[in-house]
Amino acid sequence: MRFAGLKQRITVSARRGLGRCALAGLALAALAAPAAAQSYAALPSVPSAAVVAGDARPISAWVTFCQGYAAECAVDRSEPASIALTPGIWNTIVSVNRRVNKAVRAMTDMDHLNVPDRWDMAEDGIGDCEDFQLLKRHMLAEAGLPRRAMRMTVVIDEKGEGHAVLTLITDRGDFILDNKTSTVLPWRQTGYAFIKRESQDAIGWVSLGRTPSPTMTANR
Amino acid sequence: MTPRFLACSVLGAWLAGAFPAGAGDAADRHQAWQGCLHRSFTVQAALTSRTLAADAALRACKDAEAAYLSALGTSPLLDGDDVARVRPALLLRARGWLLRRNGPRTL
Repeated sequence: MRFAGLKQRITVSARRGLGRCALAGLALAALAAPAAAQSYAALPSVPSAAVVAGDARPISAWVTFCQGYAAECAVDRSEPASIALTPGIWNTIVSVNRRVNKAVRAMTDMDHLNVPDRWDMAEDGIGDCEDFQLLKRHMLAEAGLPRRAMRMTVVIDEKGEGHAVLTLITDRGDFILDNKTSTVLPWRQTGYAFIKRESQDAIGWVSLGRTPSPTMTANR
Repeated sequence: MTPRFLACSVLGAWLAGAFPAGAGDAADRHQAWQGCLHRSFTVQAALTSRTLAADAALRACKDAEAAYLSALGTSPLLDGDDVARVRPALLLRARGWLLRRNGPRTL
């Protein structure tokens, strides 16, 4: 199965430092990972988080995904709702984002599988936006980050299209993992309009507040 | 035919040119809406304040906006409720874009 190869290729160096572990071990991984470009020290000191506004209808391809990958959609309410960032955890996040973006080949589901939308974890090394993020979440959860604090999110991108990203809810605010950039950005700096994300309390989706990102870059 | 009617007709046709034939997906429609807003704003800003010009452009391009939102609603990631909810944010974003990116111009 190519997924195994792909995942192994991406995770091997992280696992060397992390084992299965232990958030404490993340600091070791940070030393090995070439992720220092985005420094922890430069993160915003004032956290900013998207506001949840109420329930939203789930995406049908996500429902199908959850039937096949139940563990990926499960919400464990005993897990922390927020990631306590440390320099080591931050470097792991940046590293996983960069590695997955590099390893997976971007292709629409229509071109790849001849279906409008299918959610998976890019098992064959090819995927579209949500597949990148699902794989990142899977890897970060294996590294010890709480899945409950990593929520699949739908936004409107700079081209005006629907787009899936991964929101990491942290004690330094919400950060976005995106296959369009290997820079992990605070949510308000993405320029995206945020629509909805997976709930932290149940298997379902919640809508997000209306405040648009102030730095929308129409020509990004 | 009065000059005003002629001017309106020309402007209407010009704005309508923002819709490329066959444009179907959200990105094309979004681009068409932005093009309409930009052109309308340029005309209006020569006649009035930039703030009023931005509001006028949003009003003038309602057809293009509707076409875009309709295309957006067909995205597998979004449904009609999502689009209705996000509309005010998109309008605000477009208004901000007009005011930030379109410097003062004269015709």
